[in-house]
Amino acid sequence: MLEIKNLHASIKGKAILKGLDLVVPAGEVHAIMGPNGSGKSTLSKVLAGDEAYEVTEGQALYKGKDLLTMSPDERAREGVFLAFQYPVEIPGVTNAYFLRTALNAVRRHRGEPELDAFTFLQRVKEAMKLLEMDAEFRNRFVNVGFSGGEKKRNEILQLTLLNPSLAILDEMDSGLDVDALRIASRGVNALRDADHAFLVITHYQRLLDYIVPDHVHILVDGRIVQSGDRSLALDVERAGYVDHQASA
Amino acid sequence: MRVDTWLDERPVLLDERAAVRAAAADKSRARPLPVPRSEHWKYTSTRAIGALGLEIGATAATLTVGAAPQGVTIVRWSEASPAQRAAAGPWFGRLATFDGPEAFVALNTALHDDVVLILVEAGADVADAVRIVHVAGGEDTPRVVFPRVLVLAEAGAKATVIAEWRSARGAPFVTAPVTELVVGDGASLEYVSVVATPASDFHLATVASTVAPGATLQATMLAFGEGLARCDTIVTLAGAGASVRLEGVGAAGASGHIDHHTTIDHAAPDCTSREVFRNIAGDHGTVVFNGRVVVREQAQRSDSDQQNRSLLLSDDATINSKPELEIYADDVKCAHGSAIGALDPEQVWYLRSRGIPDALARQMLVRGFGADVAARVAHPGARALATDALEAWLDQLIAGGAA
Amino acid sequence: MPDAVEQVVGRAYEHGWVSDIQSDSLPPGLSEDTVRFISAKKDEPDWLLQWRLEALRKWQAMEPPDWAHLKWGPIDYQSIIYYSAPKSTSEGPKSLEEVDPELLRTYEKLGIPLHERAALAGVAVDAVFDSVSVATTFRETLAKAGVIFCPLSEAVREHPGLVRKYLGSVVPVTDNYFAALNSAVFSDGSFCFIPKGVRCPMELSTYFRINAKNTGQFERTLIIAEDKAYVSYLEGCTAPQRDENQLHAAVVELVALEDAEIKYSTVQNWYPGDENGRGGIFNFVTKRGICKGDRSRISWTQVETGSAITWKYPSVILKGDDSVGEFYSVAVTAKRQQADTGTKMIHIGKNTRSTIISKGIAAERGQQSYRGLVRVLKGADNARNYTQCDSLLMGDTCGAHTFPYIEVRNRTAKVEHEATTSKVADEQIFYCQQRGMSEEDAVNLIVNGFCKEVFRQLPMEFAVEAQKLLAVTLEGAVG
Repeated sequence: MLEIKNLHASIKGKAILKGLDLVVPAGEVHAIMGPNGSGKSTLSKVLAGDEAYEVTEGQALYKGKDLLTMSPDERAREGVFLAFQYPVEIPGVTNAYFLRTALNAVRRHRGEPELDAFTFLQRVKEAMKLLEMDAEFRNRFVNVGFSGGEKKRNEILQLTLLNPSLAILDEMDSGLDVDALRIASRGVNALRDADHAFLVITHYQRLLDYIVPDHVHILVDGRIVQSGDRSLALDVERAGYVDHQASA
Repeated sequence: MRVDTWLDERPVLLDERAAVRAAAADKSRARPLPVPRSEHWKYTSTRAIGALGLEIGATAATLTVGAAPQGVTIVRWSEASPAQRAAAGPWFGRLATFDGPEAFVALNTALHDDVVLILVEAGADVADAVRIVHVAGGEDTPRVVFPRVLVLAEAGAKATVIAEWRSARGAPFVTAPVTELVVGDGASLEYVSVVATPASDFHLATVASTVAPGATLQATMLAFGEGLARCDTIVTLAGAGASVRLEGVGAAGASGHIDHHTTIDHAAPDCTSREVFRNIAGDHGTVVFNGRVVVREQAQRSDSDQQNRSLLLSDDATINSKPELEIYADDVKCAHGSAIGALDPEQVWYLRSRGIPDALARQMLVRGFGADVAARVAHPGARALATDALEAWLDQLIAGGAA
Repeated sequence: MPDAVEQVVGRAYEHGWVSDIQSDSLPPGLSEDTVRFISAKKDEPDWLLQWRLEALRKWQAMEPPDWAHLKWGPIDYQSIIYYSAPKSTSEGPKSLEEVDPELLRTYEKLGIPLHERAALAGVAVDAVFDSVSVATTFRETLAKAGVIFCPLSEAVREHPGLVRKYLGSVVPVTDNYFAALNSAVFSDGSFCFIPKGVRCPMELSTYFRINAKNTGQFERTLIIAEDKAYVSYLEGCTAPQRDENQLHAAVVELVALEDAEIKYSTVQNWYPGDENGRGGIFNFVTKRGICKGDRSRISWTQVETGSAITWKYPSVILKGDDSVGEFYSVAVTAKRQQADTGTKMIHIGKNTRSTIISKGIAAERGQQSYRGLVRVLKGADNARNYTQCDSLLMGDTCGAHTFPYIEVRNRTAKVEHEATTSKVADEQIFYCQQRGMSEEDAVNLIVNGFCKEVFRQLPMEFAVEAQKLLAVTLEGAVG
């Protein structure tokens, strides 16, 4: 699904990713853990196509296609979804309208017919029920005045509806209490199957209790320094990142 | 006003001020007073001044200056050393410009006789505030004076300057001061101005400043009175990362007319401005706030916020508020707000429900309305002075049968 | 993103064609003779001629206003044609069949449903072409309800009492330079009278178009809603693409009596000039309504996307107790357009309320100013005003400015003004793109969100048109 080779990226001339390699096959959940400033969020932004970051070397293939030459919206329509760590507010645009515009853009790209208002509403209602979101969120402006937890849940709602092949969850657990985390994870887990891949970026092991990964990678100073199974995450929680930093 | 005669009788200066002064004289001869009802003077008429039959007074005698703290030199231009004049010379008349509608700046530049220079050494961290007190009035015949001050805070200096403008009762008196503030690289200057204008007097002041890269200006402009006070405050954020906090209170009682006219000019990138003004109009008084914020094309990432709140205490009082935003750069965060109203009856009721009598409750709320401005003055001595002046005046306003 | 900017520069003005219609025009120039000619052409009574001549004399002694945040060269008032009528209709069409077919095609191109069978059923249209009102639809339906909707020139003949009573009662002849000019030379416009207790059965609508070269358009609209009457009125404007500037100086007067309500909506899309600032309409318009009766309500909604220069302040005089004034505005300036627009809310009566929502968008080299006056007079106990004034900047060569004037002389009044200026954030665009929208769709989505509070005020068809216009004006303008 995703194949990253020797990826180097920088922002404002400062190198952040320094030769990152990573392979995420379809049907798997990979967790990226690492200390602050290790490049976790940079990785997610680069994969989504944020123009503030410059890729200086290396490549990223998505379903065999060169991801890095695509515009951000092309990537999204191809099925790459980023759940933002800090989702932005868009005043005056209702959540429902935003979702429908995005969903239809993706559907058109897939050659599927646009959803009529009724079917769309049905799907939104179902998804919102799954995520225990109040119906009034449909008519509120995108993320405006949402609490941190509400914003995150709104990201997962979009994930559920857009149904991407590759979902990148950037610090999904930050600002979420345990209940909210459980609910949001339920949304993610509902999508897990042989056709979907997930890249879960987190600082804390806690999230991985809810979204259990197949593989865990430790990112330090722009490179993956260690990979392993679920137990690696528990090791990190016990020992911290110190050893890995020393070894990097 | 016999401006032509005054100009003819002024001694010719042969120093750094000469060229600016000549230009100002031309301007003043052509049009000594502002154009009535022009946009810049929309809410303040100066026509009465022309009819006073003014004589020009001496400024030197009326400006008293305390002892200078360590790191600060206070000297009159006429007595300054060549080095001191060389330092101040390039700034004179450069900040308080008069190519637009600033008639009183032109008059001052053309007719002032001396300049009080306040020079703060580079890197000096001055704990004591410099305090200048100007006493006008007490004369038998109407007079006009043109005090002039230039404050130069060199790179990295930290200092506080308090300017008090007081009036003694007497024949109508016009004070038209110009103050220029230069805040050098990384310097930090606090400026507090307290203007009290009695019923027959006119105060037409301009304070113009420039703030260099990384420097900070905090200015608090308090103006009260029953006469006419028009205070123009101009801040140019000239260097990257400069910041200003400009606050003020305008309070008018009797038939007083207080007009705060401010301009904050974001002329460099990454600058911050915070502006808070409170207007309080009692009796037949009028208070004006005209606050202009300009963000130039090159001033990307400007962050500006301006808040004006006004309180009307009587049925015959007037508030005019004109907050203006003029923005030519796109990556900016600018907001302003203006709210006008009476004392909140719920607040009054709340205080009364706790046993506070109505009149006292109102007094507390009016005091409180202006108090936060004085409370944010950073220098403790200046803060105490500002707080006392404000409370005394607001109490007088309330006692005048206002609230 | 720069590609997108180039796209808009290359964009053509959609309504920039010229119709080949024979005009019956005066030679350029303005004098007493011009005014007499226009008045005679309309067969006007002497009082109106004298009213016009008085206006001309006053105008000649006035100076053009210079306080707006606008730059324009001197206008040569002697080179303007003050009267231009489509020739075949100079006698006035009696029915649609008499209207020049070319003219009807013009309106078809504009998408105006002139025929009663036309798609937009329920809209009565009065079309003003250059200076003359050419056809009014739905007159019979309206007449049955007692509503008078006709060209102003016809109202002068048929309802002289009403016209004489109200003409100039809201915007006096000497109100300002352009209103005085209009009073002297206005050639036609719409007249609308809703009698007591009548709720106008359909939306009324006027489309304006300047077609002839070197022509000024000086229409004048007068709407009167008697006690408990209601009317919603729509106005749309286009003009052909020409290299020289054309002057449009209109006057609109609204009178709302007790419990009456007038909603006035405008979508203004006059030719804005090209990317170098050549050509375009100079739009100097005086619009004012008076809430004369208690509990009356006047609401202005405007979407201003056209014109090289817009100078326009639709206002409400809140004279009746408990009356309500509203102003909702979206103004867009791209290319080298300049707009200085806003409103005046004059609170005279007790418990009067006003709301001002202004959304300004500046792109490319556009300059955008909000100028609004809220004045609370001494007797206006418990007056309330709320003003929200937001500006959106797209690109670093444009400007957005806010000049509110707040004057309060009553201590029981409460006035609140808030303004913000921001840009379309890169983060917002990226967020939308990450959900699969193209950059252009993302910008449209964000801009429409920004304008939502105003669009919501427009009748449905107009809201759709306004959104489309906005998209076209800003196409690719984000860099």
